[in-house]
Amino acid sequence: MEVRLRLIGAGGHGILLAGNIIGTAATVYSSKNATMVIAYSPAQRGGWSRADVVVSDEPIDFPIFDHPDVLVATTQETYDLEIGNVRSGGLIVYEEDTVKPAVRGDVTQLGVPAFRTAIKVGFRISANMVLLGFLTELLKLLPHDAVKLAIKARVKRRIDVNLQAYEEGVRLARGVRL
Amino acid sequence: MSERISLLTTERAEEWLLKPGVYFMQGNIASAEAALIAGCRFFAGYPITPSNEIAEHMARRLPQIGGYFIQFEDEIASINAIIGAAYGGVKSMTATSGPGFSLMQEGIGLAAMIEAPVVIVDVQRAGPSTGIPTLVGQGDVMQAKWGSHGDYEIVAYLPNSVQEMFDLTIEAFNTAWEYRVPVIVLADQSVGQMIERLKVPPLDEIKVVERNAPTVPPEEYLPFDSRYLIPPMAVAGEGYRFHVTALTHDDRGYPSTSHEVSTKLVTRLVRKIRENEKVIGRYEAIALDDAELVIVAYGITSRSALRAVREARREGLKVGLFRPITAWPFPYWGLREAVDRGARILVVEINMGQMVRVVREHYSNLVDIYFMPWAPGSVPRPHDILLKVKEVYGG
Repeated sequence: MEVRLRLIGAGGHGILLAGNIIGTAATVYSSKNATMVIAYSPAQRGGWSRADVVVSDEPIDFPIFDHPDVLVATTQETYDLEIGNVRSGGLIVYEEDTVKPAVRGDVTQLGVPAFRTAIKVGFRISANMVLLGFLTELLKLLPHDAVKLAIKARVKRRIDVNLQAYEEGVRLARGVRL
Repeated sequence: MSERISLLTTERAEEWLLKPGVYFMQGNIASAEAALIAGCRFFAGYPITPSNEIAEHMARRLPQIGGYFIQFEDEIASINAIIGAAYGGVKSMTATSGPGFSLMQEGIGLAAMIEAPVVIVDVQRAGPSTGIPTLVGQGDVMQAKWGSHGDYEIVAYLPNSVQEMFDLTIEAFNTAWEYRVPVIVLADQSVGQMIERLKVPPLDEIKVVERNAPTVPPEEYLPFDSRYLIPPMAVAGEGYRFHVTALTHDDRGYPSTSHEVSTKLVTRLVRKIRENEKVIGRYEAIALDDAELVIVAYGITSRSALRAVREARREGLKVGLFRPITAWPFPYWGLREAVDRGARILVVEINMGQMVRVVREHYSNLVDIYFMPWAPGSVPRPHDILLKVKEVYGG
């Protein structure tokens, strides 16, 4: 199975780190394949950054895609930019407090209070970990152990708080049915 | 200073090299780590997108293992610096992209002429000129071969994955030092900046070629000894006295205007690569056995083409993929069998027609050769290639 994830948000939201953790969890800590292609808006400050991640059991022939299966957006601007690109039948996960979702009938949309939850654990910039936990639990794409090992390998500081944020994300996804 | 240099030969450097294992790594960084494993201990460069991660990584890593990193005032100084370092016996590299690669051409000609083993990573971006610095192109294929004046041969590799950014960078160093020739890793922005799985084998399983040093006493040494196709190479400070010039030179390295000397030198410079083209040249053939149409694609384009081939096969079209791993020498012999069977050829590349000219040179009198140009700034998608495949296949 091949899943195409597009993570997008403002610079500083930890989008690339989240993508890197998914890829590391897949390739280094599970026996899967992953690719990641990154893109930025031209602005030096206040722009967006995007991580396109493919996770697959098979070798990945082409890492570039236009229509993700799963979109994660943490700002209104990036949500508006990408909502039309998600493939029909796909999933959109948006940051609940910063994004006002639009109507699109052929995809599933879920809001996650990533920033609020991250503030609750005491580290606002760990919102990406909340989203990571939410996605991992929801999609069953990768084992939690693999993702946590990747977090420990990739996150430079406050690993414990980041792991806590991850667990909070997992909790938010429990009971959600796709 | 002396303590630093002594590190070059100690085993301590090995402790600092990338450990065997599986990584999720960017192509450019994989290339830099591979260079260190191949023995690179000097990097000279000037910043340019999208190759910067290589220089940035080398700036951090080289001092850890007793090597040197210098950021120069431009690409001309950078290429000349690595040529000088090679003649000091140190494996050296630079990394750049289109505009910087253009500036380096004179130095590449110098390296070819004085047979300096250097490695240049060119992470191709959209051109011409400044183009689109952050986006992909494959427009340097011809420049890699013909960029400097005069007659010479170089070797250029075409990685299409992070794994190949690693493997082919090591191979580039080996080829450079085995043949005393400038070697280009002709990457592209997509492959250089993408991140994917990299497997690093145990160090003792990685072949590393060292300099073929002279064994004769210094008084008998000829730096460009034409009795050899590839003369042994003395380096500065070993006690061998030799002269190096970019002028046409005799076996002793001294300038000459004699046609005999010119003939001897220039034919040797091309023969050492041409006569070894099948040793150096490499390709990958996928589903060629029964293919009625062969797509020729390289770098990131080959990965889009591979998906197009798979989709075409699902639809019952007999399509295969021929992927040159070396642009130069171009591995034309790998297409021979398919051509003899009458398979037609479709070349897809992110430029207005470069490698297609080479394919035509070899096979246009035997089969129909089609071309799908693609302007730089994006990678043709599998469905774009599939559309062209169907057009050609049906026609």
